[in-house]
Formats: sequence, C-alpha cells, structure tokens
Amino acid sequence: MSHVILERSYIEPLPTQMSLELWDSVNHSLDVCLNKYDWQWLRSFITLDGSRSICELEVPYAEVVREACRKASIPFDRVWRAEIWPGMNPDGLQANKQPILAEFTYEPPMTPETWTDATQRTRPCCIEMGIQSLVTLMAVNGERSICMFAATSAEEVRLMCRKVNAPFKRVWRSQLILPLEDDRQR
Amino acid sequence: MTASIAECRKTVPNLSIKLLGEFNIAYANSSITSVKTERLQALLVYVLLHRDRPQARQQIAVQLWPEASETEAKASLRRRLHELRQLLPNADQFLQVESRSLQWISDGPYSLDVADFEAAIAQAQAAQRSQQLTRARQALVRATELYRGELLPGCYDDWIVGPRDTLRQQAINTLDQLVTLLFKQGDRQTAMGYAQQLLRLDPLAETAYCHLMRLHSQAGDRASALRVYHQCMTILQEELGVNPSPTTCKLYEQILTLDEPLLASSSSPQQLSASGDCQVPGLKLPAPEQLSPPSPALPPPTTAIPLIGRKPEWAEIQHWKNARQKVGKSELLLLVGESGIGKTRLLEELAQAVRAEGGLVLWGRGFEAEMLRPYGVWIDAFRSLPNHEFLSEITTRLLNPHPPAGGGLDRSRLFDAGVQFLQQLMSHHRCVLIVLDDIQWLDEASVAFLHYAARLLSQAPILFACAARTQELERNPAVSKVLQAFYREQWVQRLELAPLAPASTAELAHQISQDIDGNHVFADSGGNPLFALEVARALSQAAGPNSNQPFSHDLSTLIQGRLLPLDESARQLVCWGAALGRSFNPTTLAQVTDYAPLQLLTALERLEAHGIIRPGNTVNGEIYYDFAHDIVRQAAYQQLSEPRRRLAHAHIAQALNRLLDSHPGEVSNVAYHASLGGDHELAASASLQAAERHLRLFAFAEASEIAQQGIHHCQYLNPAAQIPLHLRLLRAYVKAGVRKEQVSSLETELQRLIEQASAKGLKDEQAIGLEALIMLSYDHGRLTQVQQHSLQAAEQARLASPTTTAYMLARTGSCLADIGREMTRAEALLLEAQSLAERVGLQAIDISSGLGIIRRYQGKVEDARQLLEQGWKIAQMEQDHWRECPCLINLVMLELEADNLVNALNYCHELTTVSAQMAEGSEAAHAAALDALIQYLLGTPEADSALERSLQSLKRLDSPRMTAFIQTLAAEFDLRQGRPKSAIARAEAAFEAARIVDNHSEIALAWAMIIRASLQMGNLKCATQHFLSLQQKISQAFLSHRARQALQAIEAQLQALKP
Repeated sequence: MSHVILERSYIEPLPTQMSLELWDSVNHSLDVCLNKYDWQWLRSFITLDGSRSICELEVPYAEVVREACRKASIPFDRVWRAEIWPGMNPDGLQANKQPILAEFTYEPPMTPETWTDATQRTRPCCIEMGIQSLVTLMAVNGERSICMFAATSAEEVRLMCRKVNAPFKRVWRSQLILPLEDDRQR
Repeated sequence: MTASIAECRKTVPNLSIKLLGEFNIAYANSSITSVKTERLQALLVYVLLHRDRPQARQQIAVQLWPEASETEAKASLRRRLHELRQLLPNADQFLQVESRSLQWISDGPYSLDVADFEAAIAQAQAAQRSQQLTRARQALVRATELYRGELLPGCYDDWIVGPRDTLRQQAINTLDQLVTLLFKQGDRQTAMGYAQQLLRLDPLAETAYCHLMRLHSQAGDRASALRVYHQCMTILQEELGVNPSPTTCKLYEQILTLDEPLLASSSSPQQLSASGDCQVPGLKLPAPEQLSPPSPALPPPTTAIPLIGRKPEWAEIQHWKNARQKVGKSELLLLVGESGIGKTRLLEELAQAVRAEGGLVLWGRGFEAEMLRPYGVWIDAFRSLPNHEFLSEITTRLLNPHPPAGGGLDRSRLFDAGVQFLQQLMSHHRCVLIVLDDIQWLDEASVAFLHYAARLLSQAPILFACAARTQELERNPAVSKVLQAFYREQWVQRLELAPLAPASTAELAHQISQDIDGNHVFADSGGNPLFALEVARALSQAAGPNSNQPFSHDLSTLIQGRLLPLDESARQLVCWGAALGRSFNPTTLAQVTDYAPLQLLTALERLEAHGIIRPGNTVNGEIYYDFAHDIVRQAAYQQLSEPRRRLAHAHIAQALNRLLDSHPGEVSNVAYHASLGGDHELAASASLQAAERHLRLFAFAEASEIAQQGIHHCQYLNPAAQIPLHLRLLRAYVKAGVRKEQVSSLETELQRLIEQASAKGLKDEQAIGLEALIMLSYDHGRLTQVQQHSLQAAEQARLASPTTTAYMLARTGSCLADIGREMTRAEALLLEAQSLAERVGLQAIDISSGLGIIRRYQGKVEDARQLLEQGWKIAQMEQDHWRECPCLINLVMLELEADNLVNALNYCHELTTVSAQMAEGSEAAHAAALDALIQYLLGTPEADSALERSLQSLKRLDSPRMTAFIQTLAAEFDLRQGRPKSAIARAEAAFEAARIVDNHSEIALAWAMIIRASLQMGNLKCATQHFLSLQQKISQAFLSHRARQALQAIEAQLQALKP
C-alpha cells in the first residue's frame, strides 16, 4: 500500500463549517470510484475559507487516485506518494483540530541528511515562538512536502520559515476532518 | 563493675595495673617487676582487656603467637600462663583458668587505669547530660590525667591496634570537650594548656589548632593565632599533603578580618559544619545559610585605616544603594579614577555595608595578565560559593574535549544558567551585590556575560558595582562598548574619584604617624591616597632612628624602597609573586619556588606584616594572597632585570605545566609565562590547548587571540614540531572566526602547510588542515565547496563558529522580537549576537531588524528607524526580499504610531513593490492592509471598504497580530472622528486578535480604546470598571512604551473626571 496525498482547489469554495457528513457527501462520487480497490481514507485538511483541501489516503498505488478522480470528474491539483516523517510531537496531530499546514517544494530534492540539518536549524526558533512540528508528509522523490504544526497562528509559522530561510509555497490554518474510528475502511 | 572494684579496694590489698603510657603492676603498693617479658605482659593485657567474658585458649594462642603452628602456639600459651600464675600474687583471685578458656575476674580486688579512664569518661558524659558542669569538668580532668600515653607502648601485635586507637580517640575527644568547657567557662589559661596537650597527642587534630587560634585570638594575641594556623597548614601539607579544612580557613579569615576577639560561642566547628545543601528545581543551590555572610568570598579584607576624605562620594554611593533597593531595579555603579585613588577602598566599604545588612557580596577582579582567561572574573566571584550549574557547566566544558551537541545556542544557555543562578541567590538574600574590580582588564567572555546578566536583571533588585582605571578602559574595546551601551540605556551611575583635598591627605598621613607634615605629603602625592600613604611611610621611616636616607618622590621607587628591608627569601618570594601576575595560593607558589612549606609560610607572613601582600578569597579551603595594590606588584616586577624576568617566567611556565593534570585551567597561564620566558615550543603547545578550551566555552575572542600567539611561536620551531602545532593552531583560529579579508591568505597558508604535511607523510595533519579549509568555506558562504566534504565535518565546524553562533542568536532574538514576546531576553540575545558579529565583520539583517523592533517597542523612534532602515538596506544588498519585508512592515508601523502618515505611505509603497515580487505568502496582504489603513487615516473615499476587504484577507491568512495592529489604529482614528461605536467594534476585534497571540501590549492598547470610547460616550462607570479590570489582568512591566503611555493617559483622564 502507498501513502498518497490528493491536493485539490475549489473555484466554488466549500462550506466554511465543514462536518464529516458534509465531507462525505462532497467525496461521494470519488469514494464510489475507489471502492473497487483496497483503500483507506486517513484524514483530510481543508482551508478555513474552503478553497483548498489535502487528503491522505492509503491505496495500492498513486495512479488509482488519479484514475478515480478522472472517472468521478473531480478536478485535482496533484496526486503524489508520500512518506511520514515525524516531528517534535507527532501525537499532537490527533489532538489538534486546526493544525497549520506549510507546503514546500525543494530544488534540489530533500534528503534525510539535509532534512536533519534543516530541523536542527529550525528547532531554536520553533521553541522560542512556541511552535510544535507535528508531522511531515514528504514526497518519496524529496521534491515537495507538507509540514504540519501546532501554533497560535499561521503567521507565526510563516515568520519562522522566513527566519530559517525555508521558502514555502503557502502556509494555512486547516480544519481537520477525521474518519470515525469504526469507519476507516470505506 | 566500678562499684564492685571500689568495694574490693576497701577490703583487700589492691593489685594496681597501669597500661596507659607504661606497663606497671603493683601489689600492696609494691611494684611487681617480675612480669617483664614482652609476651607475658601481652598475655596479661589481652585477658585484662577482654575481662568481660571468657576467652578461648585457642583464640588467645592464635592472637599472641600468630606465626606459630596451632600446637606450638597452644604450648607457648600454656608455658606463659603457668609463668604468670607463678608471678602474680594471689593469682587465683584474678585469673579464672579453665581447660579451654581463660578470664580475668572482673570483680576481683584490683584497679586498672583503662577501666578508671573509661569510668571517668562515662561520669563526664552523665554530668554533661545533666548540666553539672563542675562535675563534668572534674571527670574530664580525671580522664585526661589517667591517659598518660598509648596502651601498652612497645607491643606491636595486631590485636592491640583496635583497642589502642579507641582509647586514644577517647582521650582526644575528652581533651576537646574539656577545652571547649573551659573556654565556655572563661578559663582560657587552663584551656590553653589542655589544647596544647591535645596537639601533642594528635599533631594532625585540626580541632586543637582551632581551639588554640580561638584562645589566642580571645586573648588579643592575633599574631599567635595566625601562627597556629600556619603551623596547622604546614603540618597538614607535610604529613597528609592536604590543606586545612574550610572550617579552619573560615576561622583564620575571621581572625584576620575581625577587629574584636572571637566570642566563645561563635564559629565553633560544630556550628560551622552544621548546614547542608538544599535543592531548588533546576539548579543545585546551597542552603540559604551557606550563602549567608560571612561568606568565604570575602573581598580583600578592609584596611585598618578608616575611610578618609570621601564623605561626598560615600554619601552618593549610599544614596545609590538605597535608591536601588527601594525601587527594586538594578543599575551599575561605576567608580573611575586613576590608579591608587581609592576605588577599591570605596567598594570594600560598600561590600561591608551590604554584608552588615545581611546581604551577599560576590567579588571578582580583573588581572592584566589574565585578559585571555574566559569568564575569569565570574569564576573567581562564584567559585567560593558551593557548586552550582553555571560554574559546573563552565567546568564541564573546560574538562570535556567533546562539546555537547546542540549548536551555537549553548553560549546563551550557559548565560541563562548564570542568570538563573543569580536569581536564585536573590531569592535567598535580602540583597546581592556583585563587585567587579579593575574591569579594564576583563576578558571578552566575562564582559559578554556582564552585559547579558545586566540586561536580564535590569528589573531585579541586584546591585552591580564596578571600578576601572579611566585611561586603561579605552584599551579594552569590549568593556568600552558595553559601557557605552549602558550609558545609552542610562543604566550607569558614574562616579569619578578626584584626588583628596590637602586636609584629608594630611589626615590620612597622620594614620601612619602624627608627626608627619601633612602639607609635605600632599605636595608630594598630589592627594592620591595610595601615594600619600607611601610618602607618609617613607617620611615616618626617614624620621625614625634607623634611617637618615632621603627618599624618592616616585611612587614606584617608594614601594621598591619598602621591599629593601625584607630578608632574602621574602624578597625572592615577592619577585615570584609579581611574575605570576595574579593572586596566588601557597600551593602554587610552593611549586613554583621550590620553597619548603615552613619557609614559604614564614616569608608570606613577613610580606603580610609589611603590607606587601594581603589575604583574599578562600577557594577550596585555601587562602589566596594578592598584592596590596597592583602598583605594588608592578613595582616588584620592575625590580627584576629583563634576563631574570625571562628566567622567572620560563620557570613558572614549566612549574605550572607540571601541575596541568590537577589544574587544567592553568593552561592559559602556562602559555602566557612560556611566551614571556621565550620557551617557544611550550608556548605554542599550551596556546593550542588554551585555544581549544576557550572554544568549548564560546570565548571566541580569547581563543582567536591565544591561537594567534601560538602561531607566532611556531615560526621558531623545527619543521617536525612546527607542522602539527601550526596546523592545529590554524584550525582553532579559524574555528574562533576570521574576517572575510583574511580568508584568502589563510587558505594559502593552510594549503602550504598541507603540502608540507603531505611531503612528510603526516596524514592526520593533512586531515586537520583540510578540516580548517572546510570551516573557512562554510563560514564564508561557499557552500558548494563545503558540500564536497562530509556533512559531519561541516556540522563540527558549525558547532564552534562565532559566525554561526551569531546568526543563530540573531535568529532566536529576532524571532522573539517579531512576536513581541520576552523583549528583554530578545534584546540580550541580539546584543550578544551583535557583539559576536562585529568581531568577525558580519552584517546580519536579523540583528538590525530585531533590534529595530525592540527600539520601536521601547518607544525610541529615531533609533528604531535607523536600525530598521539599516536592516532593510542590508536585505536589499543581499536581495533577500523576505527579510526586506519585516523591516519595511515595521517601518510603516513605526511611522503610523508616530503619526507620520507621509513617511508611512512612502515605506508602504516600497513594501508593496517588494511584496509583489514574492510568491504566495502574507507579505502582499500585509502591504495591502497597511495601505488600506493609511488611506483610511487619510480620509480617502472608499477607504473603509478597502480596509474591510483587507481585514477579511488577514483573517483568511490567519494573521491576528497584524489584525490587532490595524484595528487598534483604525479604532483610534474613529475616536478622533467622534465615532465611538465603530471604535468599540474595532477595538473588540483587535482585543480578540491580540488575545489569540497573547500579546499583552496589543491587548492593553485595544482595551484602552474601549475605555476611551466609553468615556467619549459619557459612560464613566463602565470606563472605570474596564480600567480596573485591565490593571488587574495586565502587568505594566511587560508592556510596550506605547501601551504604557496609553494607560497613563487614561488614568490621568479618569482622575480628572472624578467627581
């Protein structure tokens, strides 16, 4: 199974108060297309203004998601395979209903060594600014990542990124949607 | 048992046995001399000592004849027993002999001195328990009389060692108790006799020396008391190789410093050792009573001469002290003036006043010879206190060749530990005074910590008092720079000491002799107190019966004249001490001079008596001496011819080098003396060790300086010794940080040495050279070159690089400044970064922008504008758009707060241009929001809807800090326009946003707008309630200048409206 990220943007924003039921209805056609595979929805992050979402899925391979989107006529920005790299407090994600997501791209691609170096540079600023890194979804080719943080505001995370010279694509506060415990297999 | 013996004595002729100090048996008052063989006596004593129970014959045989076979031993026992029964009158009355055992009949008609001795001790204890002191004294005297010497002298069996030692210890304790009792009863003469008896019994008993010191002192004989201490010190050194215990040293110090004789109850050894450690979370701190005066960290003892001619200065110092204590904020007192003008004397007076109030004084002093000893003055000030984290961190770093991981922030962590320790001290004492004397000679690391601590503790009730020589201050850029910063902050009270007036000079001279012509002294000395005293002494001697010599009018020559009457060994000692260049302890001096302990102590006593040296701090139980004044040291040093100086320094270097295993911290001194002594190889190798130590302590300036010195010595070495040392020194030099303009020449030098190492097959040396090259590339941004080498090597380079440390400190400091949190700490970190950055010629945007933000917070508009402009320019040069933006954003905010709308608009245009070049972020939205605000404030049509759109955009971006700022300023404008309802709505939105980021200044400003709006609407009650809640919830100490001003204005407004 592959850990796959599905990135989507919405011309017509989603409702700003998103619930699990509402999210299920938004994704109904996609779910139907995916159901012929062995797959699992892990969680989704939606911008507070409903203009963007990131979904984490477990599927046999990434192309399954792209095919399903095409079949369901759901436009997407990007589908990519990721690895989970834990941050300072990986368990904090479950408790944080509005984690802050920072999206990065890397040229040259990120390696575990350069990542260690970067986190060491980042750590003092994070500590001083009261920011906790939770989890990072790192593309298997090292070209992009989505880092999740707990912080008082997204601006704090932007500030920190600027301080440590880590150029980001975007930083946003998200609304986290999780499946019900007994309903993870869909 | 004792009762039955007494009964028997009345009825039966006594068999009297004495075993203590002799062997003597008498029966019916006639001595029995026939029991004379050594084994026979041993047998008798064995059974006597084990009289409480039967002893197996086999056991006795084995103990008495340990080297014989069992059969032979039993046979010997049989023969001796038979003999004993023949020789002892009425033997069966005393000995119970069985086939397998033997026992002395303990209730038989005999007396035994050992039993009587033990009985007397038991009686003394019972009497003491019941407070019958006369009976106790009698019993103790009796026991003392009974113990005439060790048990059965001349017997060397193993079994006798235990009982003999027990009895001896009992005798020592008895004498100790007796002396203490007599001392309490005021019978000093008798006590003295027993104390001396105690000393004869145990020449290593420190309690005996303490008793004698106290007794002499109480009798007013301080000289004898001090001699006893030196006797104690000598014997402990000679016999055990140790120093007297801290208790004894403390007593010695008390005797030295107290004018009054010691009271019987004070400073008894039991009292002094009673305190223990207490744990404070995070730090191991000594118990409060341990930190209480009299502390071993005494400054040099106050001179016997009273403070003369300094009434105005002393009044000013007292006023400073009282004012600091009253407002609970710190401020630096700086005494400046020429050498010998009386700075130290005034500091001593201040220290005494603080101690008299129950405060704690920490005293450190700079030494010219030790300007490369990192944290020297702080180590000296702190080390007389029990172990704590700051000092142990320094020690760990000094001793640990591999610094812990964690990177460049460790310097600030080290400093934080120091500040935390000072805070803990403050919580345990009414007052804490830190005295730093001769700060013109402080090392850079010490100065950095002073700066850091002063900043963080500026709001704390701690007193910092320093003294410096005016002219020499300018030669120490680190100290000058920090003082300039303190002046700018108005954090210094400077007191310049002028020469004494003629009348005061005469009064001072009359302390030496009333016959001296005060005008003469003033004319010669110009009112310099030290000079005046020397002139007075010289005049006094010239007038005396022993000398008719004219004297010189030069201070140095006067002091040298004072050294002339000393005997040869004392004069030699002065030269060694002067060449050592700092305070010294007898142990080090003994190592350097090869003096025998007694000779050394005699010489020290003589120098002390002549006022050449004086005792100072006690460290690890040993007194450190120093010259009475640095000028005295200089005068003594000048006496040495150039060749003798070189020899002395070379000898000291070698001696200290031998001590390095036990005193690794002396390595800088080894380098210093080897350099002056012309021992190039030792100078280079010690410089290398010292540089590596300094790097571990983040003392980069000192490391750089000493590495350079080592490199200088390398040119005199042969290639085999030179290449390894030179390469290692260059590596240390690079690690300590180099300026950009040096990089090229250093690379060439390293390449040359690497080639030489390669030619000689020195692979390790090649690797060291390569490592130094990597560091040069890394620190100067040549990352492509760095990436050719291993990440690990680069990481190592970063760990000890001032460039990286400066960057990291700047980044952390500016992080805090950006979010408006812990502004005092942020400032301390940024100033620390600035100091490091300046040394390596680094221009870091974060330092300028961070400090600019802090100045804005402090309401210093001009400074803030200048710093933020500077940061912006650097960012422009480096094309770092991300860092241009915060500088510009803060410039816009600054101008808006200062009501300079035109300036704000100009900066905002720049911001809009820069942010347009940036990818997705918040900069463009911030620029748009600030622009919308300016337009709103300018009253531009449609500005309110643009402002609303911008606020929505900020909400989407989750940028509450900017939201709070914009809403507050817009609310203020609404108020000015007479729209209180709109102002309240905006202020409430600002309040909510500020609460999210927990920014107290923004919360207070938003709240202030709500109160002002309520007042505008005529709702005084509501405004007053709001203001009271605000005061309860927000501490003014942590607010920005602007927020404090807003609250003060409201308070004044409410006062004015009070009915």
